[in-house]
Amino acid sequence: MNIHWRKKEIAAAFMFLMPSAGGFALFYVIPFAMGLVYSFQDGTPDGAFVGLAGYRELLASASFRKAAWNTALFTFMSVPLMIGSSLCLAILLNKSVYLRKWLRTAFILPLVVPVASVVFIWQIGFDWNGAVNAWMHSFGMERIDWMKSDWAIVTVTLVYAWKNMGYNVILFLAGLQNIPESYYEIARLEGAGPFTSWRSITMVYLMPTLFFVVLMSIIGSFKVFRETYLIAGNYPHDSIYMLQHYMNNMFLSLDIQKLTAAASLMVGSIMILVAGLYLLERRFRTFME
Amino acid sequence: MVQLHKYALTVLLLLFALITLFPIVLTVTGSFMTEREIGLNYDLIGNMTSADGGPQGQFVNWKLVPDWVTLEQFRNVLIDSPTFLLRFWNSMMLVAPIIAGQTIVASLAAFALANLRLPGKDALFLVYIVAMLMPFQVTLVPNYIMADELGILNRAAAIVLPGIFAPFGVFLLRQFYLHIPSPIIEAARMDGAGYARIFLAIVLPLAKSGIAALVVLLFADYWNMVEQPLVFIDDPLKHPLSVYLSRILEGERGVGFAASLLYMSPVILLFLYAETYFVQGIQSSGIKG
Amino acid sequence: MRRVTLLIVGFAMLLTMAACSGSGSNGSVGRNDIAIPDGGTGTESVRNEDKQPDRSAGVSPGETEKNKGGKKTIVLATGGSSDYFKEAKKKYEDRHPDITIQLKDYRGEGKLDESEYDKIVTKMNTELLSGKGAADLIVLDFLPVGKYVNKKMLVDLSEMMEQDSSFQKEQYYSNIWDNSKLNGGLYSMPLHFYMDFFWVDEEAVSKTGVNIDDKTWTFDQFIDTTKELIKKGSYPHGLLGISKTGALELLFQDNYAAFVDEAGRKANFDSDLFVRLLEQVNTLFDEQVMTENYEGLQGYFDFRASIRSIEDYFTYPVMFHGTGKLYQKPIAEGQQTGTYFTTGYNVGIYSNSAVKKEAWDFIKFLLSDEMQGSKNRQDQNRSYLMFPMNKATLEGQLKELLKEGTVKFEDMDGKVKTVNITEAGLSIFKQRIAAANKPLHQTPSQISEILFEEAKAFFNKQKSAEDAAKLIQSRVGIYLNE
Repeated sequence: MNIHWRKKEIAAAFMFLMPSAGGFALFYVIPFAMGLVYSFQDGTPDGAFVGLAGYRELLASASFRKAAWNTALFTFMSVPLMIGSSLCLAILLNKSVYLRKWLRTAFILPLVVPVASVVFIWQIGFDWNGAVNAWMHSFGMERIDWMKSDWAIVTVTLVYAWKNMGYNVILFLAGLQNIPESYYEIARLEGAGPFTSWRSITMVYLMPTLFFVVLMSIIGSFKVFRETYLIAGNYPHDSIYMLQHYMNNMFLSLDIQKLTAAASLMVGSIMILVAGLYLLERRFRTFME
Repeated sequence: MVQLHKYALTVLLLLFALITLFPIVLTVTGSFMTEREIGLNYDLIGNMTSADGGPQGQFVNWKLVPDWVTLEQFRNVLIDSPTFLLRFWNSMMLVAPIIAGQTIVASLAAFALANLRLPGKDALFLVYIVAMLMPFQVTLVPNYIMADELGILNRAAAIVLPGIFAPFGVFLLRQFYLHIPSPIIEAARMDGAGYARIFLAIVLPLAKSGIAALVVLLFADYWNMVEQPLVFIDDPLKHPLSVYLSRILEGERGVGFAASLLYMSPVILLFLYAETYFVQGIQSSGIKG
Repeated sequence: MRRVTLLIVGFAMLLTMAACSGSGSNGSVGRNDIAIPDGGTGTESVRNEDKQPDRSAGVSPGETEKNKGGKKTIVLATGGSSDYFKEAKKKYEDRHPDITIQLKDYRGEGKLDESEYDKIVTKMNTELLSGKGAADLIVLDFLPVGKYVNKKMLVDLSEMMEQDSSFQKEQYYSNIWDNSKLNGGLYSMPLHFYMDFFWVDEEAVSKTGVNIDDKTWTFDQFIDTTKELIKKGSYPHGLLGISKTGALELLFQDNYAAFVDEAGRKANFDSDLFVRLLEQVNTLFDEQVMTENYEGLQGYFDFRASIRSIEDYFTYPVMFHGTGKLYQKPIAEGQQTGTYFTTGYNVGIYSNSAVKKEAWDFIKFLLSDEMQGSKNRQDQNRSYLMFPMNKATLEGQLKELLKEGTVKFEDMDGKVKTVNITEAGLSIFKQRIAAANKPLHQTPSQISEILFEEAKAFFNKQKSAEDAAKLIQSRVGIYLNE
């Protein structure tokens, strides 16, 4: 009986999955597999098999190493920073405030502002003659070349946070409101301080949300490339030269071999990262059930 | 005392909201300025000039209030460049089928991945996530070959089909479906309901918010796509607005604001419309299991 | 075991989908066609004005289908719409009923900034790399030819030239081709070219008693000579009409090897040498050896002497200030003497093309007197824009001009002037074309672009030379090390 049901369930799952998985394979998995093949060839179309030569060349490239390092740095610094601040904001919004609905809407709107507009506004703000420098100048401070100095990474992080924070806040808010108030009551009765109840109730119950938010933030951090590229071009200041720049430049140079080799390495790293997060989330899920 | 606290917090959050809304407000008010005023304010962008005054050396202002309110820019965009509306239409004709298709396909697949027992589904989900983070350059050439094989090159289908099967929808909706308690599904099955019925009658209504969120996010995303239409469609008259907006912004800064505003308005309108589902839905669907 | 089943089912599904769409003419896939506006945007929208067999209308443009039934199609990708190529298409098709020329504009109208340019290159690269859909014949003026050559995307046309016994190289200004070679082959073949000179006020120069030999002068000599001229003569300015970045480009190209080691992936911009170079540009402008402005100024030289037509050649000497002459531009240390030239309408054949022979034949048609002297190459004053590669065509144009005897033109103040055309003048002109051996590039390289962008901050006194040099070093370093 039970086995019969399991079989039926698997069959049903197949049916539901099929349209998506089929199209996904056709337009994403197979193309990537083809890309993987390119990474072992010396060119397309009709390249010869050259084994790991492309990977060796890739790892020998100082620019690739810099790009990989910058990307890792951005992912491990900016993403947690942004998640931390959106969590704070969500906790504040979860307290009793006026106009909560309007505030939420305001925070989330940047997500839908088109790239071209973001770029225009960004330029007005952070150009050498931009508004931010105008303020600094009027306060008697030296002007800063925001996109051509070590400040570039700060600027990019700001724009990234501006764009993605809102949705994270919403997701966290939903997560927070799912935690029954009674849990906190019980904790208080048992003599737990605010920090303890934050750590052992809020954080624990937010875990599934957190997993999702982290992934959404990483997606967002990859997307910020569009804006950065439009502002600073193919060869920006070296603190914001990311893997996407590298891959884009490789494509413009028709160096498919190095492009796909870089992509394969990146996919490997993402796989490890995501699998790690996923296992963590699963452990919390089972722990809670 | 509590009241005061609430006020202070509201003011703090309001300030923050104003900062996030600022670029949008700037675009709106800018679109009512005359070309001359915009030129005076923003033509200095990209010139590394001195701050010591003189005709060449001032700062760009963030100008919020126009000196003279005019609809000149809108007239220029809408009437003097007839292709604007054509491209607006092109954009719609690409984005609408992608959203409809991806929502349907992804909501089916997410059901299998979130609520049904299927061996290996976690591994499959991991593949979806990785594909989501892949830069488009990696699969551009294989996708082009694929489109050529399928005979859809130079047709809307070359953009719409990959759009429909993009992994983001599955990723997002799965998260929403996870909140649907499994006892509900279990109970329905005990009552003899088929999976199609469970999906339509139980899962979909509970996932309304997720679908609203997906529609908005997809719209914002695909409304901005540039590379795919450019590469897959030869005829410039079939290109969407996004491909053209950057040229407008670069060439004639005077109409930049109005063009940006017209460009982003559908996304913002859609957002404001869907926002009720979007925000409240996330919370109501969180009937934790 | 189950995973294996999943895989098999998945692939079976894929195959069915591929099969479905392969046979179905509407190109939509399986059950999801509800979501597609059944080819709506594909068929209804506005057509290109000339009813060429458009790819979007037909089936997949695979090599076999493209050329079936004995009728062959050559796809010509142009950078912008051009009446010249439309004319060529029409004439060629009339004479070769078995050939269809399909024009495809990869550039579109409007200004190109960096990101627009990248988009165009992205599209072209995708087509070239996929081996499908790409053009057979490409106008390469706006494209990164060097990269295409390195990745073997283009055919060496000098080989085709040699194999083709009907092709007489002597009938063309082949010195232009010989000096346009890359990696030892002619991958991007110019159909037209123009020349660059320095305008010189010879009378003013001779008054100072300074001797100039424009056949051999180098940049260093030019600078020294100019300083001497300013000291001895009455004119306050040396070279007019050159920007600081233009001057930097000249000096940089002159010392290229000192700053860039492409093979060793090293840049040397954070050196004293480069900082001195930047400062030298400023000094040159301070000392008025070079001046950006030109209106109403008295200078010995003028930088704006790009000669794009025969008429230009004869009118430029008297166009801007007084009476002058065109001198050969200074050369880099150790270089051979010769005229600087820039090519236009550079065409290449895609190495994966199935119709290489036919494409070559079409190139030969473009080089014929008929096309080289086409009316579509004239500007509104009926001057032919850029010189033809075909000697007979140019000879014909020169003969025509000699017969008329004079060229009338409007100078900067709108006054109508006349210049006499003499046999002697024409023969010097021809010598200069024969001496053209120094190619200039229409588009700056990636390194030059970075250079200009960062140097601008220094020239506008916003950053120190050291800071600008450091930025250039880091950005060029990234480029070289990719």
